[in-house]
Amino acid sequence: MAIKSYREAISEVLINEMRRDPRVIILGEDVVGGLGGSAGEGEAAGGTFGVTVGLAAEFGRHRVIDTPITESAIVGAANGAALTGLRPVAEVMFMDFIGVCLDQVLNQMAKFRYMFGGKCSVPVTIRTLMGAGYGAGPQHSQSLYAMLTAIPGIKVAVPSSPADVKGLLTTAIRGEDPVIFCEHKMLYGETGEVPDGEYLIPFGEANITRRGNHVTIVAFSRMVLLANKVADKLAKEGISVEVIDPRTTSPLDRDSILESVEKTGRLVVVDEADPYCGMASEIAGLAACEALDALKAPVQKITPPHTPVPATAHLEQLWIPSVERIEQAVRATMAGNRVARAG
Amino acid sequence: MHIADLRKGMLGANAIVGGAPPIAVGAALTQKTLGTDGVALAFIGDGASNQGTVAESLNFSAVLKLPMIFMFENNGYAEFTGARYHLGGADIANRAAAFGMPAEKVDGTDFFAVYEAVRRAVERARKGGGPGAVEATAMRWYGHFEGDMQKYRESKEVERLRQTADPLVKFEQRVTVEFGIEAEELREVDEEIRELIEEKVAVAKSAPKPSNEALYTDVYGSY
Repeated sequence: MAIKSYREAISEVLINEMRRDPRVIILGEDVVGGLGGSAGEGEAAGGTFGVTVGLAAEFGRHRVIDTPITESAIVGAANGAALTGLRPVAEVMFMDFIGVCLDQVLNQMAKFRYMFGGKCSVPVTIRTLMGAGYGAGPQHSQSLYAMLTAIPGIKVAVPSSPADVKGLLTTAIRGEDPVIFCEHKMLYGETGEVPDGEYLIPFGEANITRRGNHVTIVAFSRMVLLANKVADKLAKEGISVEVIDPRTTSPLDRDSILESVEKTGRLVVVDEADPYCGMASEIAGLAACEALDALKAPVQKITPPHTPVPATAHLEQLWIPSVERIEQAVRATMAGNRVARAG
Repeated sequence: MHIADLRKGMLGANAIVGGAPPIAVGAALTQKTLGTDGVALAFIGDGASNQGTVAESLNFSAVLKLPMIFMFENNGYAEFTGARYHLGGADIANRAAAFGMPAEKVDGTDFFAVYEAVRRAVERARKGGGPGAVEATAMRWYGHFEGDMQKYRESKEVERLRQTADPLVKFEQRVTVEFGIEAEELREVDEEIRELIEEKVAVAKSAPKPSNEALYTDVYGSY
């Protein structure tokens, strides 16, 4: 075990997998940077957030490929390369830009295997940066994983810790299916213990980050950290909170969630995404359909309101689900009450 | 980013690279449909010129003969990558010309050259002549964002540009020599503008923050 940041964990996996398998390539905007500039051909960026620093020096620019700003072609090229023998890791700099290349995601990579009668694999990993909290405004802050989770044929990972980054990204790159790997930009500096050596986490296997008996919180990505804080605080008062991090939304570990709800009878879902048609609704629906008898109180959905992510700092903080709102929801569910919905 | 002034017909500085050109096509479509003499103009960087949306907009506006100007601003860099690498064919105007529209290349640091090229395109568009394109080259003086270390450019490049390719200096040289405008008058305009900017910045900084309720407003017209 070593303490590493979320960012370092991503870099470590990319380096390991590129050393291990010459078919792994990286392509994206300024994953190296500097080509065509006046300073020569040296690395000028290594990714906008420094994840791919030094990779071109080790693996060459033929495997760490700077592309024009052209998301459809980046993802389309990754698709075509995957169909013909490579294992591309494509970077869509901000998740909002998935909108630019959505056809290649939902009509192409998601459909190949099915339409070709199972005769192909589509080992594409799209790394993309999501999340609010950076003041990046409505077009650079969205967490759109629920929308992608609704598309059969692609898998979706939402890691919340450096260790999960290592285990899930490795699995994604070595897998046979397209994966949208959603990195939360506010987690990049978060540190945690990361296992040394080979470390793979299967998709569809939740992590129970806090064990408890009274209330189940299901939280995604950065929201797991907030849920853990609430669990730790309330433990001192004797309220025992179980926190479940599904880690992947497709496939989703329904069994772990249902087992926990059967045990606690109380469910709070925390999702930094829209209140409509999102994972919070999905989990609430799962509990209603398959664990209704166990529920002792209404399910609490803690999400942002149904608005774009505001750019103004204090409004953005108001938009993001807070520790206070989660705590309030847990207390309400203990009392058998509802809390006011956002949006 | 995100600045817009709809009263002036300014439909926003888009945070999605290549997001704007199709929107400008729509604005041009409005002018044609309503029979106004308005034209639409999209500013498109050298980086954005590589997006599929730009090719689609060029074709769409050519097919519908829309009053549309493609104003390509080639500043040499797309984020941290130079146009010498990212721009296949190295000629944006040529790409536009391939869609059958007049396309000019001008020195983007020459106010008069830009003005004349755009004027020609606007006049043609107003007469029903369809879209036009102007590629103005003016190398970037700044980074992609505040604090960009600009490792992709040679250290003296910006200094050299400031000395040799300052559009304001070129403008002043031309108007003082050819139009008899006194340098003193230009200083007064400079001062006026500086004061205006300072005043507006002060107003913006001292303006009250949006209320918490503002978070929920302006998502829909009605809901």
